[in-house]
Amino acid sequence: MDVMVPKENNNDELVMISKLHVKSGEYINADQDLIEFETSKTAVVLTAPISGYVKHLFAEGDEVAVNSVVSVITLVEDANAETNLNAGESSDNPIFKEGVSNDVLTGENEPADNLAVNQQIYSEAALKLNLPSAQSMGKYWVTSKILLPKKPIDEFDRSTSLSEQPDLRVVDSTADDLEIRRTSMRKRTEIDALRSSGGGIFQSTIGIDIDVNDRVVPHALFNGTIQDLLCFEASKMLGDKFKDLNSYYVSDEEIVVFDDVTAGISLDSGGKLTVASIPNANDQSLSALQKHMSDIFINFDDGTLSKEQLAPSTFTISDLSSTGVAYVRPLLNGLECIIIGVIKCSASKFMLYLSFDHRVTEGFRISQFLEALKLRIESHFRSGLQSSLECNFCAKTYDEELALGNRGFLLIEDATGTKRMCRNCYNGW
Amino acid sequence: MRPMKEENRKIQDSYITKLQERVKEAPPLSTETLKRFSSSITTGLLIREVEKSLLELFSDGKMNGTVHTCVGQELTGVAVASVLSEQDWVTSNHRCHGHFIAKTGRWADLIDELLGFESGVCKGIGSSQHLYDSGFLSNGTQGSLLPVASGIAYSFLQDKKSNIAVSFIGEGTLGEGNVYEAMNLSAVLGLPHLVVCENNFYSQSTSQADNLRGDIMGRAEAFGLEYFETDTWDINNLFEVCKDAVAHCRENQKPVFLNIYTYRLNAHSKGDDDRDAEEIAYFAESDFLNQAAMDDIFKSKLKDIRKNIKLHLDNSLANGKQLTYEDYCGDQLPNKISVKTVPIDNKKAKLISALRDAFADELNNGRYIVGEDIHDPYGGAFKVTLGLDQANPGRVISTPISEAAIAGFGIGMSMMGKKTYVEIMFGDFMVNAFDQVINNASKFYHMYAKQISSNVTLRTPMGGGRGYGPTHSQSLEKFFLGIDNVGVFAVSSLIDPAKLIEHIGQLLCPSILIESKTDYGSNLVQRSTLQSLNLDLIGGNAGTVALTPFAKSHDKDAVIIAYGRLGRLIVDNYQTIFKKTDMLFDVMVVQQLHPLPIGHVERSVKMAGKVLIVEEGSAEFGWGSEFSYQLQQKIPNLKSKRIGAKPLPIPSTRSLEGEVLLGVEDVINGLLDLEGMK
Repeated sequence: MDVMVPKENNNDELVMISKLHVKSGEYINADQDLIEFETSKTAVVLTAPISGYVKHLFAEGDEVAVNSVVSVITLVEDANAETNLNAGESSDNPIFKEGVSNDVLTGENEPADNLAVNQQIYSEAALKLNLPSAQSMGKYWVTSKILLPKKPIDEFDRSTSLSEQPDLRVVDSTADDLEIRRTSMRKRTEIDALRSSGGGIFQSTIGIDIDVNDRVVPHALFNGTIQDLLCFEASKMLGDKFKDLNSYYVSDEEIVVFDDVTAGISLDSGGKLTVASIPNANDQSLSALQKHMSDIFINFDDGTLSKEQLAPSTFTISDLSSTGVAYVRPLLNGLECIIIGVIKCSASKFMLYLSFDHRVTEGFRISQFLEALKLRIESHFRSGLQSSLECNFCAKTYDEELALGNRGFLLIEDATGTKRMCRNCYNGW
Repeated sequence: MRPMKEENRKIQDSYITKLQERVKEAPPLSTETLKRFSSSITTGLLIREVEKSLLELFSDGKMNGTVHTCVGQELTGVAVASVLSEQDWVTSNHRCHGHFIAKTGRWADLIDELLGFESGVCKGIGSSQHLYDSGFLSNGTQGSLLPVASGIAYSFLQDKKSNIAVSFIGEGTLGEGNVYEAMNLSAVLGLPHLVVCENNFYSQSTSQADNLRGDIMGRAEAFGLEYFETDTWDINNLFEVCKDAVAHCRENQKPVFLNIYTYRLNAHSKGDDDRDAEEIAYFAESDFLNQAAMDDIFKSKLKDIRKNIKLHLDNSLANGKQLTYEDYCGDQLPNKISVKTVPIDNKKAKLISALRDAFADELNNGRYIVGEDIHDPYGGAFKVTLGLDQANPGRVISTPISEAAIAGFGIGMSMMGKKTYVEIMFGDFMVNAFDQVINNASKFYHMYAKQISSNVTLRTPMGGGRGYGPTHSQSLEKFFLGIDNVGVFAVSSLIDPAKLIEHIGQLLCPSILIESKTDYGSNLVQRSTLQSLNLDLIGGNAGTVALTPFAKSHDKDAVIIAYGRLGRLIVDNYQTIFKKTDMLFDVMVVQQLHPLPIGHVERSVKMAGKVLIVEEGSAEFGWGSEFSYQLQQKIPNLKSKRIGAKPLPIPSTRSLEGEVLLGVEDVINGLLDLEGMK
């Protein structure tokens, strides 16, 4: 049975899918919440008209035409229904059905199944790049842009993006979300000593390796980088146990510490070094962070970064994994305490080089931060050891649960005792 | 009076003298005559009183706009109308009040119309010159309704009715080409079309001697029209001749010219009359109605007339309401045209034969095609109508070379319910029909208060590429865009035009269909061919057609919007364009040029963020500019570019022509420019 996008008012021709309550392939009961839409005026929840297996034609965040088919509920399970949606790629399923007129042409299509696989067509510029053909796998049309995926790179000195608002943070912060701490006598002495050491260098860098076990690869935004995980974990830590590093030096006597973490992502595609930011990064789920990041990359390419996306950040990440460099000593990006540079040594090994403001903190603290960060990032890739863990309700393995982007199983206590439960099963309750 | 050359002054004087002789020759008023024509005289007096009261209302400041009274000429309308039936049609001009009241009797609604009230003939929209009733229409442009009357006359023939179409003109109108085109056309087609010329020897402020050469009878006879002549002083002769003229037209179903000598007693409009005061006084005194009004019976009738007019006026002025803007708004354009996002599977045929089939269907549904040289076995300059004449005799009408007249003819036919496709042989000649499109077809719906509309379609091949030179190669569609209530469409060999033509066939508004000389011969594109090139074709019916590469949305860099032949050209050269520009794009080929189908392309354009709009004619002030603007309004941060031919006449030499017209190189450069935009 087709599920149609409702027409809520006379103005909207498109609505946005804000939430898919049930995943494709899952079973839903009639009247259960199925999809949530955002119209220009309000949010609307669509419930399932019948019970059955769901197949979504779109992903969260997609815009769909009013009165078009958005999902299909079948009585028989469709083995191919589960779409492993990569956040950052919009849905590519054809939305046309015979005879359905929806007055919107999207130009999205897939070749019919019975066609022989056609030859790839390269543009002249793509041919010149002379890259291995594996990089254009699955593409019928190959432009140079497709071969060179968007990367947040870079080498930089002082970022220019914050130079317009040097003192903004002290001035525009409200009393609620920051705290001014007084520096200890010991620290002040240390700062003096650093200053007088000739050259007045206050930044230092400490590195740590991240060893990734690639047997289980979780949902990563970019194949082969850990930028999203890094952002996720670092933000959580900076918002909780390492708040003192979510700060910046004001004077020898004071530092400012922020409640909320705004993660800065450094971007450059050649002469356009910019740091875009994600507010409240410590409060976001991994997939929400990934969505923010992909938005940032797209908008950066288009030159359409919004004011919110260019707001000042409380710490920065500079990811050089796509390059072949072996070392980076990132420079702090204005009013912050830490900046984390990422180097890729091999497919399963990364180096983090964290530069920090020695006037705010010192090596020991940073080492603690990095060690905890390493553990947390590596925990996403853990496998083998705990693969015997299973959901007690549906027998989903721990690996599978991680692959879905979740962090592990929930422990449910009911009348019969304590059991492990995966998120799918939990949501079904 | 305009200062005249001595010889012309003499000629004019001789005209006036002859006129005065006619007056003298007219038999004196007799009681018998007055009784015999009593009701006609009453109508004439009514018209005069209405005209007078209108003039008064103007000087009192209660009336807005302008008026051209027919005081002195009333009897022409009365006499002709006395032998017409309700189903006969009359077209008139700026001086139409007498004709209108004589034909329809609606003097009260006429007054309300000029007062600007909703109770008026056309709800106050048209006022004095733009009146409509079933069986009557008038317009302010001289002569342009004559071809429309020809069309109306032809519709009577098709229905085997014995009705006629009557066109009132002044002798000044004999300066307009439309008159001659219509007379020729009506004569050639053998139409029951009566042209009544109110010959009052003055056109606005110019004497006939300064404006007209040769004689009027000669003009009529040159086209083979039967000629009749009379005047408004010998009332017996007037009514007899009118009866004969109308009867001749009706019985022989041939065009007739009726020349009625008369004299306008008031100014052309509301201003001063600077003709010779003595001359005017002479004709005022000998004016038949003035004389009849001195009779007692008519004196009392006059009193009644005046009383009735006053009563009506008082009531209207007190209670009259004006039409609101909201009620005036609204048109018949296909503002929402649906598109089916289905794969397009065209039959294996050339565009021209698909067009022919579509028109054959239209003919089977009771429609008509009119054009120059379109009969069999010639079948038209581009052979679109080949065979259609034989298959549907009487529905494919070949005409003389008169684009304006055949456009008007089509308007008249369509107005009477016989939708007509008017073929203009080359797009370059469309401009001959411009007046008919703008002042007639476009205006009918609104200015006649939505009482009537004409769903004529003008169709024409535009475009160069054959070396035909500057006046046989143009793409002039941009001059026909944005005309009120006129839709504009374009066929393309990317999609079988059957559904588009079907859609056009059902429209209520007038429309223009752009075809392409060089695209006629193309085979309709086959989806299988495209798919082997990693392309797909979806959309259609009468809506937009999308050519899309097999790719994800986020891999696409731009959208190209085009129509007609250029749409096909871009599709044929898709790979070349892709390889050279390093850009992946959708091609949206629209079939409806106006109103713009923004909804069809909006989503693709929004997702790509870059759009190149391509048109055949020159780009400045063109279709692309408007499309670009409208898209920008809906999609902030959109990068758009529009390209077209160079703004130069199209030369014939191959290479030069290629430089001026748009080609694949221009599309490539356009895309590259677009890519480079920040």
